[in-house]
Amino acid sequence: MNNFNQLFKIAFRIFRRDWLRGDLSVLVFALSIAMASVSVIYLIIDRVSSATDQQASQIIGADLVITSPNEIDQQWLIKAKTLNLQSANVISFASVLSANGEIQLSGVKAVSKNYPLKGRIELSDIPYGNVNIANKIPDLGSVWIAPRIYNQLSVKKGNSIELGYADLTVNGVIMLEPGQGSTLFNVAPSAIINIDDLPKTKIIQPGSRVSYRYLFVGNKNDIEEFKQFLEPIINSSQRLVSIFDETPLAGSAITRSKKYISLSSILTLILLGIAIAITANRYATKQFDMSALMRCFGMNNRQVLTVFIIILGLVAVSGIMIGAFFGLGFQWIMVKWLSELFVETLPAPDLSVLLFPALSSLILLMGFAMPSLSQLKDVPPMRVLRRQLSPMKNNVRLIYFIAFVSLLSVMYVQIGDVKLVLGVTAGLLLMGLIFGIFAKLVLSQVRRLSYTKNVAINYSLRQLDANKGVTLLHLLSFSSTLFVIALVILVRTELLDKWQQSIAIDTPNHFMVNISPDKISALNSLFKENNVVASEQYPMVRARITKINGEEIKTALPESVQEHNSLKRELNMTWTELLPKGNKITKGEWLSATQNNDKQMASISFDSKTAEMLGLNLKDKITFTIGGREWTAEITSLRSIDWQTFTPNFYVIAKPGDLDDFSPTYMNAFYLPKDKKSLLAEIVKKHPTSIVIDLDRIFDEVRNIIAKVSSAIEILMVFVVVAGLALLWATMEHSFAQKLKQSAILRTLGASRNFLAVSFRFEFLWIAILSSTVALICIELVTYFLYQSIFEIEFEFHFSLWWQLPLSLFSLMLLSSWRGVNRVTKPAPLLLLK
Amino acid sequence: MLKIESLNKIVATGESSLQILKDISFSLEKGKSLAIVGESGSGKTTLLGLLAGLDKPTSGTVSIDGNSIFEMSEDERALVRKNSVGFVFQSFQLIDGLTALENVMMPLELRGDSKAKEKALSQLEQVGLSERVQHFPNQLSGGEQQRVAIARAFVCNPQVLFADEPTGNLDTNTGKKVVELMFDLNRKNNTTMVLVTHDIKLASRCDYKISLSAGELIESDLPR
Repeated sequence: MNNFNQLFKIAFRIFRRDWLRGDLSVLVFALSIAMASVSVIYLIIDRVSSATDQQASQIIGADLVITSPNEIDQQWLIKAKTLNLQSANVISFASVLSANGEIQLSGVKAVSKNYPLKGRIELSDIPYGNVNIANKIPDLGSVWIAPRIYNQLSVKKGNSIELGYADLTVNGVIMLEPGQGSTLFNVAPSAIINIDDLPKTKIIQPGSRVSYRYLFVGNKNDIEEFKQFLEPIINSSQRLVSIFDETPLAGSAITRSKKYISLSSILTLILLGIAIAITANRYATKQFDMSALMRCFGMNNRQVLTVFIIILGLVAVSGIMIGAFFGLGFQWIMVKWLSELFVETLPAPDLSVLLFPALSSLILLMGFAMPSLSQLKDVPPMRVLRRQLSPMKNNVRLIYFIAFVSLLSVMYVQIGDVKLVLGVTAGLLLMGLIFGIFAKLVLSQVRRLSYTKNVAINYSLRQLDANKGVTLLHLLSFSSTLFVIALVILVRTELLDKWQQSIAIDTPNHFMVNISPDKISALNSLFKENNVVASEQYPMVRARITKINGEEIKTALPESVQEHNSLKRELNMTWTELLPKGNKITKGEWLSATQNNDKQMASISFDSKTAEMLGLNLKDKITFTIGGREWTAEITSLRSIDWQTFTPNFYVIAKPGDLDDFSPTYMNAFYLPKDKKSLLAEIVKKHPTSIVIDLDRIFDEVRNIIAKVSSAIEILMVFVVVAGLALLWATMEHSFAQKLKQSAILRTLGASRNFLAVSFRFEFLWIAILSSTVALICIELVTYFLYQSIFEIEFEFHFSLWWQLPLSLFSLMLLSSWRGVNRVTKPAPLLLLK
Repeated sequence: MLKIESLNKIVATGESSLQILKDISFSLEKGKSLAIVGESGSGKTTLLGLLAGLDKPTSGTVSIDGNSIFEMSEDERALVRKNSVGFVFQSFQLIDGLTALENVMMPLELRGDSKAKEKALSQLEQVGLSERVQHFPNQLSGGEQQRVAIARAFVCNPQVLFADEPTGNLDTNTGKKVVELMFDLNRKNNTTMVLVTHDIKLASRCDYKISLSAGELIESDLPR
């Protein structure tokens, strides 16, 4: 008996018998769904992340960008070279361009060969004319300029412009450049020159304010390695640029979709874990007799356990193989039909992507099936004489602990997001608590209600209490299935809705800044004549923070925050009566409601995130320099700002009237449909000092990203729903297996099939109502938490879900019970009793 | 009361078939008791099941009170069982998770009897279990479980009672008590009773006895 081969033979024989009998099919099915889902999710995560990373690279111009106020350490460039990264660099500075006796302050970018490494620069001969994509950087001695410079200096293509000591020839008008999203409010218009022309200009001298931007591209792993190399050594004035700095909406769409994918996969794993636990438990219970017999034949505990571990191994092999087949099939479908969805060329199906899913499925199977199967070694041999003898219950806490730990480990390996994993863990514990309290309360009362005039209702209610264990199992699996399916659909719908709103077709696609007050009425009439919808005009002054509570920044703030971006540049400040859309007061009162104690002191509302970074709070007095003059105001409120909208947002808002001594310029936002684009040239011509920022191309990029992640989310949702239905099916199968004997006894006592069917359906109705209620309570709590802290969606109570969910579950149960009711009521009662 | 004509039961076993019952015919008057005896595998339980309409024969008829049960649908047969038949099984066949009282109430409730609880309590009292009405099957001894099963079988005053080895799972003393109880209730209710048994003593207490061997009726003291 000690011989492993012999045990293997026994195990294989039992496996074959149970496979043919169908006892193992549900377990194998659950495992193969787990394998298929994990491999598909894994695949999608991989694809979405590379597709969106690529898209993000297009927007920021490279896979990785470092900005620095001075040249970076040569060692970094050497490291990049050893990693085979391709690089380019940009030196930016503000300088004056002059031509035809006119001057214009400009943001000059001196770019090296290959700039941009990703994305593109679009050029036109005249502002808003036909565009061409630049396939190289400006030739030596030439310059590309923004439309405003073109108008301000009255130059044309081929004309000469002076930059420092250099004369450069205008060779194109910049219509699109990487990183345009971040330059929305940069007043100085861009000029791009060849980096080799820089010495000629003699502008860069020691002490000049210059910004260096280093761009890198390469393969994913090398970029990641380079990033890890940089992160610990980068200093506080240097920054790794992310998509968030360029286009917050696209950045957050990517992050949220990744979080959504992570959440869906965690939820799928939970569902599959429960499905495996239920089916394994059912299988183990059926094996009690077999185990008792083996013990009678002289096998010891360990040998019995070995036999069932081998069976579990065989289940693992078959489930993983079947699941892998479907996983690869899906990968093939993705390559064949969905590659358009993901910009990159997808590699052919690759067996290596199955390694991690196989490992996860194995952990899931061991964690969730082992606790049940390990009971089999404890079946007393006396069971062959007294069938009612069952194994001593394992330590329940230990079982749950094992399952929980295995689930967490798979989640962590797959997601790698500690915060999300911990959040879900806390959510699971909370759900368990709610579930436990609710189930205990309800089940203690059902028997009292089971003395009505309707015998089917009575019987169904008694059944809930009679088989408490089974009822709890059903409630748990139904409520978790409902919870997961509803949550995945809800978050998807509300996320997509939010994105759709933020990039709705009539969202303003142009910003106009630097409008002088005397031009406003002319501009408004131009819009009116051409039926252009424009926002109100926001007054704007540019202000730099210089003191906090009367103290210079250098002493008022800790060194760690002195390099914060908001302190190093001028901030846009506006004033308005109404709290702008997408802003929320988080502390204090909105300006119109405040009255300072000190009537002489001006009031401001500050962006809450920046305030937090700088350690600012209500009542702090901030001194700004505006146009060379000092101006001090007290913070009377903090606001959260929704940066994911394309509406003008301001870090600092002053109370109307408080800034009357300063002359503002104005800005607005307007929507111009594609067929009215020609109007842009007219606007620019009539308002040469203003800057028009065209967001259409950025919108296209963002829409593209959102379309991709939305599709990925839809595919994933289908998978979660399928996994949920698999669990539902497993549970229903389990439920009918339990009912075979009972229904035979009842039929012997004269119960009709109709009675049985009605009583089963009443039982389903109660379970549908109870599990929906548990699921709904959890959904409301969890969405509240998720929306607030992870997805930043406004939470609303889901009233309609409270009737939709139980009704859908009950209908689904009725549908899937069709076969089960027949199975239980068709065979002759005598066969069941024998 | 009970009339059986040319009853045959053949089951397929892979490629061949097995005849479990061969051409069984007999009849039993109301209020009489009949014991079916025979070796294991002789077809006793199958015959009992067919008499009660719990399975269908390959050919032949069974009539209870003049109603040919195999010309009925399954639900119509269930109706006959509900109104006229009681059962006692060797392995008790109580419904787990229902109390003794609820188990006995079940056939009454199925009939729509508004006094199900009172009647069930009184029947449990008759079998000496008034102290155990709220106990679940797994909290009762074998003898007690069988007494609950007997209470459940008699609570509707059935015209026919079928019992399959009613003492098979009980020790001699308990078995004796259960038999006394069954015959006592049988007498009181004037029930027709058919029981399957190996126990010669039990068989001899019945009015009639038939013996089966390999599915054939080899001996009968029933009047022709």
